Amino acid sequence: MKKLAVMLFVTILAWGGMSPARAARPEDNPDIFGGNQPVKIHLASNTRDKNTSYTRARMHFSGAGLEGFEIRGEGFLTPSSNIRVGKTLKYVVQVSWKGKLGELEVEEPDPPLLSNLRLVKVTPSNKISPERNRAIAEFIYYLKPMETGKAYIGMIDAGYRLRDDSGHGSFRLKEHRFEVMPPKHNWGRIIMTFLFIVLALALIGGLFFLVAFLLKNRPAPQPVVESDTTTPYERILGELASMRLFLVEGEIRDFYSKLTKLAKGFVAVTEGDDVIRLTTDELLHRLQERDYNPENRDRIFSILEMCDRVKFAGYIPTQSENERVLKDFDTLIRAELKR
Amino acid sequence: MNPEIAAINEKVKEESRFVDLLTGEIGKVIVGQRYMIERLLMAILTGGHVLIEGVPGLAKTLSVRTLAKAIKADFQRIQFTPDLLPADLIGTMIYNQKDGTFSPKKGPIFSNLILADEINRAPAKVQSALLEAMQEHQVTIGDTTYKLEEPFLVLATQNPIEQEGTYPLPEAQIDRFMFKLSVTYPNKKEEREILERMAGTTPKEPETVITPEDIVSAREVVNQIYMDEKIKNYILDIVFASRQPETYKIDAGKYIEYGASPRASIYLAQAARAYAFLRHRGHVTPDDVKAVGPDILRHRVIITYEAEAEELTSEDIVRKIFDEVEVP
Repeated sequence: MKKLAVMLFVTILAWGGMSPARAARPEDNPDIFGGNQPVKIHLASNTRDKNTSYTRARMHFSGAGLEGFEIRGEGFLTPSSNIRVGKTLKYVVQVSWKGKLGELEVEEPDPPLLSNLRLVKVTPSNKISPERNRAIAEFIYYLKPMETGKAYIGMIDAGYRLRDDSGHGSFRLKEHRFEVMPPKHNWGRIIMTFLFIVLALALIGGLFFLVAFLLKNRPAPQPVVESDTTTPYERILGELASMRLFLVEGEIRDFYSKLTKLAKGFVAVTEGDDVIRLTTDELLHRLQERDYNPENRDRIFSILEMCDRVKFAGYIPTQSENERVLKDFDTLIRAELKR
Repeated sequence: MNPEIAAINEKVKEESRFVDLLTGEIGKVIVGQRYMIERLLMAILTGGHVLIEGVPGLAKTLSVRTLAKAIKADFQRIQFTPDLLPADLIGTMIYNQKDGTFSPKKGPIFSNLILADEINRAPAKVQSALLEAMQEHQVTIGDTTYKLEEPFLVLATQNPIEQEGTYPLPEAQIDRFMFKLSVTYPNKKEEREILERMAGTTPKEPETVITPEDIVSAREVVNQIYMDEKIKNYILDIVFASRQPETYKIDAGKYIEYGASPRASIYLAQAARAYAFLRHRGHVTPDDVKAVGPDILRHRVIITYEAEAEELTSEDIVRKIFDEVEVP
């Protein structure tokens, strides 16, 4: 209904409007118009198509040598319907006549008054239409609708001259009013854009995971191989030697705490690290279960028992006891080293 | 040795002589159950109470009765039933028609050793009355407060099966028990010995080895047993590991709803001392803490649904804590 109402409105405008503004003046050029014979120019038709974008004016000349000479002015929109925001349309102004291109010179019209449209560019051209047997002077106005709603193209005066200024006239093409529709979603393009984005994200994600994977699985930096190939027993022996400092400084309890750790560490070399968390009795029980070397077991137990007495029973060992414990442990480690 | 600690060691050796006599006398009557009897002795030496979970017929009543006889103490067994009233337990005021006055009638709780059999069958108010007496060591009847005689030991039992129609003890009440023991069946050898002992002859009766006064004085010695700072720190590490296992790099945080309460620290220290006393030692070692730890912590570490879903018990969690926390 709305479309029908708009068409009716535009049709009424066209019916009342289009007319040639000025006629040629053949009396000023007797050579062309046959001497002093009067030249009659009459408007043959002034129509607007149901297609509202099309206006047409046709002028007929009658006089000596000019019978049948006809100039036609046309203005039409391409596309004529479904004009949408942002989509460039063409407003074509054509002046055509039967004859050669050189017979008529058409001046470039002033750009029309525009509303809700932006003029992008104007392209003039001249051509011969063989099928219509007419020479055509054409001006194409490239227009871009700016927003949804009504749009307006003002009147255009298309002036022309006959042969070397021997006569001139002009057409006035009526104004155009039309509706600009909202931009149409180009689903194909949207889907393509979406797919492109997804693909790009997938590519970025893939790259990210690849980098993460490579970083995660990169070969661990090779530990610097120490030229010192000391065995655990040798290390314990070294620490034991440094523990004399505790005795010198009178830190007896610290000495025995450290000695406990070393003694358990000694057992852990063969029995596993969990023995470090066992109490002395539990450790003894474990070693009995596992058929640990009985001689070593008894020595270890003796050392740990001494440590426990000092740590938990407030026992204060004599210097000779300290030395004996140190010596016992030292002997134990050296015996293991020889093996 | 530090002279003070040496003195304590001597004192402990002297005072703990009765332990072997006592266990020997109890052993005449009870076959096996050394674990339970040791915990009963530790409880009586520290003033704690014991909750036993075990199926019927595991000599729970006999153990307590034997212990009571061996230490010449009063013993009462109270069968907890749904219709039991607090007055049935602690006593009440009786009206005397002759002189028109009220006089107190003391209940069975006025005894040295109480066996509260199937404590979860009595309603909460009765449980509450008992647990209050356990905590305060005193009972109020009418307007008068009566001190309970020392030693005072409550041994409560719960049946792990048949939970229908019971009033499970809330965690706060369970926390008042020093130990929660899980008593198991005797082994085949022990059961054979039970068969032979009970075959037709009159059951043996234990002889009195010590008096309740000896127990009270032994308690004082137990309290003097030397506990090094390292051991105290170890106890704190254990208790804190039950609350914040991640701090101790123990992967058990998701299984623990609530860790052990401060009572656990107190009881761990007391029980470790008592354990050392039973071994005639005047100082505590990490072995003592490890030996009593599970009995003190298993009812104090509350596990999560995740743990239940994975069929883990608080026992498993406690064991893991003891396995992972570094021994001094």
